[in-house]
Amino acid sequence: MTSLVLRPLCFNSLHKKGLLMTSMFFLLSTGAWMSAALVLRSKNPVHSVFYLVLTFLHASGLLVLLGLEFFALLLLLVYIGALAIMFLFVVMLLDIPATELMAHQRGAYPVAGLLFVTLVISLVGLLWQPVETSPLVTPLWPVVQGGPLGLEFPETSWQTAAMSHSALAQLGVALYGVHVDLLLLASLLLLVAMIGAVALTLTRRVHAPLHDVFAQQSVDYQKVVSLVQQSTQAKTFT
Amino acid sequence: MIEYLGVIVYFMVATVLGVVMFWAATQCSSQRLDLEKLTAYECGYDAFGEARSPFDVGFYLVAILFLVFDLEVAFLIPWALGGVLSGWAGLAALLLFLAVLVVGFVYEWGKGALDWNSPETL
Repeated sequence: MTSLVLRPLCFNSLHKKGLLMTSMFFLLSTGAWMSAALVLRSKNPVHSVFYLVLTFLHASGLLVLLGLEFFALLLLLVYIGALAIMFLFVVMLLDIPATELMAHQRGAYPVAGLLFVTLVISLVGLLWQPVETSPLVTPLWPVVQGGPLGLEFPETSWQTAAMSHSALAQLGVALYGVHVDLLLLASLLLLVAMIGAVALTLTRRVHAPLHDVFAQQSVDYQKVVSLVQQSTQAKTFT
Repeated sequence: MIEYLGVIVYFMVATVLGVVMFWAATQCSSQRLDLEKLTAYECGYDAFGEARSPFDVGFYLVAILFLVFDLEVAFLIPWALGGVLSGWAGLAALLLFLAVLVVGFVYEWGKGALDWNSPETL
């Protein structure tokens, strides 16, 4: 494996960007930290979910600053449009007393410690970014490159792709060309989510689909609606 | 990145407008609150219980299924722009991706998860 060149991420990389970009970055990241703290601090779970929405908004602003507009819109659409609304839906409608919430938080400190260690590791990895190669490259890489199969990694000229196509088109090439295994893994994940949701929640609806839509649509209306001769007795009654 | 300057201006104007409106509403209106005004109004009675009540899990199921298909469409959008570049292999990957999800869709349809009216309620 080639030698890793580690270099601390300095703030002088920020000077290359404009003043507006730098100030927007500080504004959005400060807002994200503050709203994340408020998620934890607020007693009312509904307020927590609203602050979570605010955290997602700040994170999507940071993604826009990175030039990842598609992911920013995806964060807005999926996390705020669907997931946070679903959280809110559950929190507002489920009858969970505050004392029960406190009781369920009792054993949370080991989990919180594990998450904190993960956060520290990822922060260290963020500050000491590898420049040449990534330590996260797949361990099968030498096998793939020079193994008995002799497979060559698909050469994609990212430089020309970056110049000639939009970021979304490059993502299409990356997702459907280079990293297609991850796409199929994602499809399996979505399949597990679908089947799991149905299998966990659905208990009573067995016979489906109930309505024969074709039969309903193909009913002859002239046979359903018929003219009834009104009797003279009813006419005098009205 | 300079093309998003209008978005920043838009957000700033919207924030300032919202703050001014809320501030004016708190300052200009007369607020004489008492206990009867602040408690929940329930046709003259005291409130019977919590406003939150357990509800049908079918709502949640619809939300989760919406989320899954939402993500599926989000995965399809990059192919719409970069799919020509990825060639026939990209199209095959797309079809395989869709086939896996169609399996789940057929499962849902067969189980009746997409059908809201159950035999009991009809």
